[in-house]
Order: sequence, then structure tokens, then C-alpha cells
Amino acid sequence: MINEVLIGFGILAVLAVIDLCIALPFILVLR
Amino acid sequence: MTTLLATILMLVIAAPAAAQTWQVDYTTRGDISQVTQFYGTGAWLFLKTPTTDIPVYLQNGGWQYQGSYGQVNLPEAIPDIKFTGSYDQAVASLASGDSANPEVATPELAILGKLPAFPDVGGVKTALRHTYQHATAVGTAGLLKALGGPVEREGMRLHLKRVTLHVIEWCSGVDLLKFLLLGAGVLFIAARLTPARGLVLVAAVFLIALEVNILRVSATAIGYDAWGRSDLAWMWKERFGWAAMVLGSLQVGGLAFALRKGKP
Repeated sequence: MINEVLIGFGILAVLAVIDLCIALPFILVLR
Repeated sequence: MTTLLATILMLVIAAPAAAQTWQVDYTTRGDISQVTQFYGTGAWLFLKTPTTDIPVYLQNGGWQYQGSYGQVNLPEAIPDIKFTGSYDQAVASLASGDSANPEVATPELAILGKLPAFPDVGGVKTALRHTYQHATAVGTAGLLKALGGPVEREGMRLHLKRVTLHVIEWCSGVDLLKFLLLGAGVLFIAARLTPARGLVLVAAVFLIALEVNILRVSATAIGYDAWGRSDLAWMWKERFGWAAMVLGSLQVGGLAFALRKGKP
């Protein structure tokens, strides 16, 4: 159960970080 | 002659719309006798009863009843279903694959399929769907490879360690694109953007939708590879779907905020 949550939220975290890495340059340019 | 031409014209116009709703022949057995009709879009089929519409999610060639977050396999009572049109292809493609390396798909959230359908003028919608499907397959393969996962792309199929991910049409992200475009439309008015900035926003939405869809499919693929073809992986697929929707919305919202009036 804990394992499942760890894996699931781990994947979610990776997803969010990658998204931020892609979006960040645009945010910085627009600022 | 005019009537004939008008009929042909109407058929041509109606054809894409007809493809959206699949005609399903079935013989009912068991207690789904209440089902009077089927209709569906995307990977979803709705069993229409006099009181409710039961969403049935096409997954891995089997039909499953979908509750809010959990899912319950439909009992024996599921009617024999014969599909025509695109569903045939969807079923055929999903049912294939061996059990050692089962095939999975990552269709979009059902709720997005409820958005009003745009007419497929000049086949633009179909072309867009296929472009997004292809780009998603390529992008997902690239991302998974970059993350260090063993992945081999063969057309729309990504061979992973435990499963083969088939990027079907309904994984393409165009429903999410539609949702984000509608959001961008609302933001365009709410943030009082100039038309030029509105165009920038719309152009960005096309990229954002593709990007978050690639992330969604990649995350789902990692989940399926970790847990195999299971209810657990499916449940997380839905969660990743919601996460993608939130991430996409944040990006579109943030961009609209940055483009608003008064900014240089």
C-alpha cells in the first residue's frame, strides 16, 4: 500500500518537475 | 439533380459526425435488460437505460464499469456486443498482444469526452487527432528513454519492460486540447487580451496540450510498467489524467496572466 502510494506520487512528482522544467523558460522570458 | 447533390453533400457533412456515434448491435442477456441503447465517443461507451447512462470504459479489449475512482468489472450480464466502424479497430487493436507482455492503452479522461464535439470540417479534426497521436507516441518514447527506461517504439506501440503501450487515437490529447482551448477562450475575454496576444495564447495552448499529454501518457506508462495491467495502474492512469489537466490549466492560466493588459 505504502509502496503503491510512493510509486504513484513519485511518478506524479517527476511529472510535475518535468512540466516545470519545460514551462520555466517561458515564465522567465515573459517576466 | 439538385436533390441528389444536396443528399450527397449532406452525407459528406454527416459522415464525420456519424463516426462519432457507433452503431452497436447487441443481444441483451442478464440484467442489463434496462439498457435501451448504446452510444459512445472516444474509448467510452455509454449504456443508456431509462434512468441513467452507465459509462463503460474500453480497456484492454474488455468492458468495465467505471465508478468514480474505482472500477468494477461488469458481471456476466454484459451483453454480446458487435461493433462497427472505429470501435472495431479499437477493439481489435486492444485485444491483441500476448499475456506475457499485455497491451495497454491510455485513453483520456472520460469527463473530457463529454465536451461538445466540433464538426470535422475538411477532416481537420481527424488530421489533428492523428498528428497528436503520432507526436504523443514519439514524445512519450523520447521522454521514457530520457528517463532511462527501456523502451522501443514500433509505430504507435511502445514496447516496455512489462507491457506494450498502444498509443491509440483516444490517447492523442485532443480532448484535453479542446478543454484548454475553451479555457483559453474564457481567459481571452476575462483577461481582456488584445487579439494578437490571444493568438499567442491559442498557439501556446496547442503546444501545452501536447506537452501535458505526453507527460500523462509517460506517467501512465511508467505506472503500467511498475504494476502490470491492473486496476491499480488504471486508477493511477485516471489520477495522472487529472494531474495533466491541472498542469495544463495552470500553464494556460499563467500564460494568460502574463499576457494580460498593462504588461509590456
